[in-house]
Amino acid sequence: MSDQPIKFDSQSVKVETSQLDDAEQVKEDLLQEQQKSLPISANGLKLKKSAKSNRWLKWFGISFGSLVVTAAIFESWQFIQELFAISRVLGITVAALLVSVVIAGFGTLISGRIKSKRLEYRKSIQQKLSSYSNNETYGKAAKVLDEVSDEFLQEVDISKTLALYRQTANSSHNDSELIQIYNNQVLNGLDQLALEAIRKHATESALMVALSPLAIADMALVAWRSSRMLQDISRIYGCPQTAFGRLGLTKQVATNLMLAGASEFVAEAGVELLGKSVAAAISSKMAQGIGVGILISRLGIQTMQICRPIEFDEDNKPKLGQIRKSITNKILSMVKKNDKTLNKGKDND
Amino acid sequence: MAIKKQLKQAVELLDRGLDKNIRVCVTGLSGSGKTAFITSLMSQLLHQKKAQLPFWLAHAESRILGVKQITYTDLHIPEFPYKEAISALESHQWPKSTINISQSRISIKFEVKNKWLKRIQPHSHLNIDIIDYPGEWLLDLPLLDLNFITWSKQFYEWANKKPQSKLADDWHQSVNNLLKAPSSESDIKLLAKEFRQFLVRCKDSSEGIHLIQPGRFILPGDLDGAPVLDFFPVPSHVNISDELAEKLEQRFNYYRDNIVKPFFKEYFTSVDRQLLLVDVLKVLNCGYDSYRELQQTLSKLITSFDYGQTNWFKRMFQPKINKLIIASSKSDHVPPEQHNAMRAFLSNMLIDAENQVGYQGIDVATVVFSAIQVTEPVLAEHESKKLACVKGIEFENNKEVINYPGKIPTEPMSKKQWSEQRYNFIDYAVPDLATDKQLPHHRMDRLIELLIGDKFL
Repeated sequence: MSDQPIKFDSQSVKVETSQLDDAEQVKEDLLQEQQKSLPISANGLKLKKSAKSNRWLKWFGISFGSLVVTAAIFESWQFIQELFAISRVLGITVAALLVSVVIAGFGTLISGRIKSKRLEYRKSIQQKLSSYSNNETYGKAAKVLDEVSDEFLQEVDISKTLALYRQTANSSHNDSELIQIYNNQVLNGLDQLALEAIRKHATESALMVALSPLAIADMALVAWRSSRMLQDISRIYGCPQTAFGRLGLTKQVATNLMLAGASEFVAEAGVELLGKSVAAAISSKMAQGIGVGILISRLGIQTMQICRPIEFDEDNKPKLGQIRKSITNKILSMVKKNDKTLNKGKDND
Repeated sequence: MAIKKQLKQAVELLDRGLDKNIRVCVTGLSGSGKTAFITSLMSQLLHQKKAQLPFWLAHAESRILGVKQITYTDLHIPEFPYKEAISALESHQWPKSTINISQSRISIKFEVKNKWLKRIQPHSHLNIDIIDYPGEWLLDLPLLDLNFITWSKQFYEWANKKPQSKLADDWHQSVNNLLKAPSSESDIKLLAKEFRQFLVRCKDSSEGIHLIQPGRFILPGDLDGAPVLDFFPVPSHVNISDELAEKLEQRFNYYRDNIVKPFFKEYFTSVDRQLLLVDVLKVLNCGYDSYRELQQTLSKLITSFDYGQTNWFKRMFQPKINKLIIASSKSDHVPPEQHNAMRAFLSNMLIDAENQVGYQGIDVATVVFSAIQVTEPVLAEHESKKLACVKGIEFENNKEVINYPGKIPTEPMSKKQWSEQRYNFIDYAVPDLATDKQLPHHRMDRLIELLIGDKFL
């Protein structure tokens, strides 16, 4: 029997000090399917996602797509032919341009696809690690964490905290302990960084909206700033997203915001509204600014949750409160400054 | 003005509340690792500046400003021989087992986290009293609830059970022989001596016998040769003279009331946190009978410390223990992948006792730890498979060995499974240790967090 005790002379056997091989893979059913809407569940039962998709719609999509592509090819063919008829040089130049556009387009699409795949992979890591820490396994998490660290290192210099983690963690720690140490020593710093990024972008856009005179400009500003923020946060967590990938991320963030928002909103709404009403007394434009700032910081926190390799627990979940405070303070101080300069102007008169 | 005065009073009260004392009671039978634990605890705390203690949250948040050993108020108790223990480790020996009571007080200065308390007092300190005493004496605790007759009855019930029944023949014979004759004082002395020898035999045997009562018969301390130790249990089928019965009962009562009771009263009152150390590995080595015996012994102990209304302990000492931590030491003797199994085993063994204590609203936690790590985990190739083992220096012959001790079950085993499954946990010698830094350990930080972590507000 293999589980009977054996004692070796230390010289007689080959040993290694590394950790155990990743023998068992996490069961597939442990990894939940991606949520797109609130699940219908009670007492541990859950309604499965409907597998039926609309066949007609699919058919329509494919045929419509092919039609557009064929038309585009035909049109450009004609266009180039016409140009060749005018001048050979012009024809060649435009043809070369067209080819380069097509190649660059495909390249962007593919790299975006790869990077958004990386985001999906991040989700699977998140689920793996959470199942390790719940099942108290041993010797599996270290590998995954190393992989994650490598991804981080490409974007952020975490060598110092990583060294601290390597110093602290030893072979006697089981997976859940390792994950906890990694969470406290490495991810905590990154969280602070991400929160700082959120604070910066949220405050900036709050100020911009508060100052901008046009409603349409507001919308553009919000879209631009929030997109920049998503990029920054995804870089901080080592899974940078390109423009195409960011669209996917934005979609995920939006669904998460909708799903998580319901519960979080109740908790935070009171405070937020209070903050807004204070500001509203000063100016409705300022209130809009604060509102936009809060929306953007909520987007940011959701992005953190998606990109972070270890899920937040109740204790270390980032709170909206602090960011909200800093936005409100910034705007209020700006108002005060304005008042002062106005008063000064009056005094001068 | 009145409000101001009240405010000042409130601040003073809070202030006093922040300067806290905590008394940690380390309980455990002899050989369960109390001295090693206290030595390691002091080493971790005193070297905390550069120590790796990730699960002691206050330390991880770098809120610990400094730690020092200070003098305690109970001046008649000797100091815990920390320096001696450290120098023993330095010369590759285990610290000597405890033969008398000793105490140590450690003061930890820390930064206050709570944002309200912080305004009153940015820094605070916590004094920890740690008491060490021979584990043998702990077993006298259940005696407090017994009289001479019930004790005798219990003793013979115990002595007829395996594994101790094998060693009891001599004792049965001598008690039957000698009690037939009229007993003089010298006969009593002789029998008491034989009784003591029987207990020592039980203690020294390799069968893993735990419930050896009364504790002072094994380790008399300053009572060696005193007439109070000249008594022994009398089997119910033997008729003895009233005079003798009276004498034995008188001595038993004296032992109980004037030795055991003051001991527990003095050292175990106002204990805040209790740590119960259990040597799981010895039991696994010794098998089913030893397992059952330890289980009963520990249940008796835990429920003696019981925290409920009707319990004598509560009535007498009014303890305020609010946390019980059951810990199994020597986890470094076990390959790390089996630590969860080891914890499950400990938890299964004490499930009833845990349940009873939990019913009183006391937090119970189980931990597997190693106070001083003397081995390292390795993977050895065996029959072309990788086997998680531990490498260390064997205590018996000072040879470096790689040991696979057997697989600890996560589910309770049946008697048959116990007899089929063999274990070989060996004792290890102390390797070369640097004593100017924290001692190498497993999960001491987690134990510190569980014991005192909540006091660093």
